[in-house]
Amino acid sequence: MRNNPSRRAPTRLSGFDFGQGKLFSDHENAPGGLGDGRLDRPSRKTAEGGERVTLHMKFSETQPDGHETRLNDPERLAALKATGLMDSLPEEAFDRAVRLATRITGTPVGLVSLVDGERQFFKAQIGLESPRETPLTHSFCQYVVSADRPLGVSDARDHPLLKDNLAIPDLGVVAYLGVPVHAPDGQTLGAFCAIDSSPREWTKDELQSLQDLSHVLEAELALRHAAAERQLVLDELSHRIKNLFANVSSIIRQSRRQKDSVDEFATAVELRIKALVQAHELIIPVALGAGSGPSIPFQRLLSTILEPHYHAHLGQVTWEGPAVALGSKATTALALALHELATNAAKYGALSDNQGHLGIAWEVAGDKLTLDWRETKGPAPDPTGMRAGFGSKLISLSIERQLGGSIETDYRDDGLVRRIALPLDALAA
Amino acid sequence: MSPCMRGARILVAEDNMLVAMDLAAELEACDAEVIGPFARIGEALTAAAEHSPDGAILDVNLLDGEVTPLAEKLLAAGIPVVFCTGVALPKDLRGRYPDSPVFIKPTPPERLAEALCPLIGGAA
Repeated sequence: MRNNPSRRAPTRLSGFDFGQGKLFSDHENAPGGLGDGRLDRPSRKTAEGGERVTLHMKFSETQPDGHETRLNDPERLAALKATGLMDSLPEEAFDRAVRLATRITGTPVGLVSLVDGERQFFKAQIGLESPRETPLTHSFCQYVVSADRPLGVSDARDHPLLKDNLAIPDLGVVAYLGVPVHAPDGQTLGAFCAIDSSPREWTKDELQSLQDLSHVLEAELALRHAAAERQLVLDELSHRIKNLFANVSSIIRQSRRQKDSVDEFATAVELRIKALVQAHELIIPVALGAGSGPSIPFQRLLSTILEPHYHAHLGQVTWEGPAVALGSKATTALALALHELATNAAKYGALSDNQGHLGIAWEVAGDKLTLDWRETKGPAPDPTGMRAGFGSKLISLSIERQLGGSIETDYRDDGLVRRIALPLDALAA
Repeated sequence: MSPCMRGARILVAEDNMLVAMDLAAELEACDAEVIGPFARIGEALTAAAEHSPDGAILDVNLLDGEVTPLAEKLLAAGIPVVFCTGVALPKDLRGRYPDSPVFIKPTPPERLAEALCPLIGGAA
């Protein structure tokens, strides 16, 4: 979940900055671990039955290193924006967490504070009468964010960094315990904190509880993120389904214009739809996956489209060429064109009997892929019958208009030879 | 069939080739002369300048971007345009040319032709 390399190392107890230490006198457990922000060492019970944080640490008297830079880190701000939480309405999931925090710590105030470069916005708050946001002049939480570690203060009025913070006079903040809240990508979004208006010490249990609640909020954010990603996928699927229907409908309408028999019509439509579906099957894992760039191997498309002919005419079909990656638009266009080329070969050309040969060879030169579609040892092609139909139009439009390429056909005695040139940038689209 | 299409030069820009071919075939069945279809704005702009169309049917999103520059040029020259879009019409276009019919995909090609028909009354 937290895999962002720019994020700081997980919180450690040894780096946990606690207020002045004056309220915590027991030094014995000082090196206790706080791996991943969790207290993992059992602490001793005090006479009152509560746990004392048994660490003596100096609270940093200066700003965390790179404070401003961290707060204004564009990646952090982008992650914050992506949550859609800034200026959003209160929600029970967050309200519940602050209610629990105040109940556990016994403080009057609890906040989920989201910190950008200029202000803190309270996604959830309990016990504050002020508005739902403040400028950073009134923020302790900003230091939790920039340090990306918990911050505990027993009496902020004595603290060199915080004593002049306007949260003290204006909001009545005196004691503060806050832990970071992270986005699913690991960026620090803000702080989850408990606040008291009079000095108090904080216990290990309280810190652990805030950490646990913060992790609950982080899990909520991760689930929301996953749900949003799924919605994107659904939208993409819906778009593609709509497109497929438009394509199928166009195929049917145009195949009808050919005025073939019903059987011929049905077969032509069925095979064209099959080519579309084959392209779709190649595209969909790519379209729905994380990667966006061109990643469908041209050779895979070619073999998918030619497979039925390859099996029906063993040894009559060969192909060879270097690896070329296609984008999803180019895949659909090429699938249709290759299907029509192969259909023509099967109907009239080298694959219309078991004597002919279809050799496909391609190479990449400069910014183009050139493909040589060579039918030999077959019947003499009849140029007149092939030029007008839907299939031929589809071939030339797909290659010339959709892919910005060119196609030349040479009608020879024992078969036709097509030279197709396709710009690589269009193939990547 | 739309008789007013007879002999009219209709520019077609649509980046889904199957849909484009269907539309072109429909227009040809109405005896219109099809300029295109084009999947890219650049090619369509060049063709528009060369062939001075009587009307145009435009997909809003083409391979190389939104159709706006082409639509602007055609409409500025008084050439009627019918839009067919999978999404909404860009705001600036709708504001400036509220009279251009807009259809949401999928729309049968004959409906697009019918919508363009009265707008090119003077053609041929």
